[in-house]
Amino acid sequence: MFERFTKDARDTVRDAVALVADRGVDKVAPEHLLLALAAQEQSTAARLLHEHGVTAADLESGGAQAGPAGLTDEEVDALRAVGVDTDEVFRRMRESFGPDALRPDPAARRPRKRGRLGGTFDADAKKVLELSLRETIALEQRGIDTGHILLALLRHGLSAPMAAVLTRQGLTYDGVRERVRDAGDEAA
Amino acid sequence: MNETPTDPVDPATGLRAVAALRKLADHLEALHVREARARSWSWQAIADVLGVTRQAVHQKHAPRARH
Repeated sequence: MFERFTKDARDTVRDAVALVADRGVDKVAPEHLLLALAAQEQSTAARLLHEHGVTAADLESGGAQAGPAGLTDEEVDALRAVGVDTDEVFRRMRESFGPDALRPDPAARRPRKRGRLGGTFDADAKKVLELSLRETIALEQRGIDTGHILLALLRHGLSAPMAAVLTRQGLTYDGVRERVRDAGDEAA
Repeated sequence: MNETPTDPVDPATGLRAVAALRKLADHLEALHVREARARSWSWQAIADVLGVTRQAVHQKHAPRARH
């Protein structure tokens, strides 16, 4: 299914796969695709993200790298500000349920060996890749490029905190779509 | 009780804390429900203590195959 992908888009997919392999995560989720886009320098999507001041670091703190109990540093600070002693809550969680009690996703995440490209995406990431094809067709463009992946991500699958980072920085589906259309026109 | 009001918490911080509390509650709920199930509690018994319906607690926490 990757024949229609541009080189940048293929790189994105490859980087996302490498990213989860590094982290010992089971499968590529939409977040990883977005992080891969943000880490690029010159692709259409990377330029859009950077213009809006979205960096891989912002996105990480906004979503993928949730801390104890899935809470970000910002959330922990907010809880402290209203008087919730998170250190004590976390300590008791660990005491009662063991060291894994604070893992963001209580459902076990087993590291998995790298497999074929097609097998390493979770259902949401697959959906994002399908949607990116649809975005390409809807814009009557040929290659599935990074901009189409970004559009698809704005439609589907991002965790709320990560989507919030994009919204906060003013990245909207409509705005991105306009830019992706223009980028396609330039390339044509 | 002679505390004088100090700086009120910024609404953004307060609201973020509320959202974070819900996340924290969800996490804590998942841990305790699993523990209760491990101790052979019925879904109904868990639901009664949580103050929700059996269906709600089952839907949220019953182990299911990931699609």
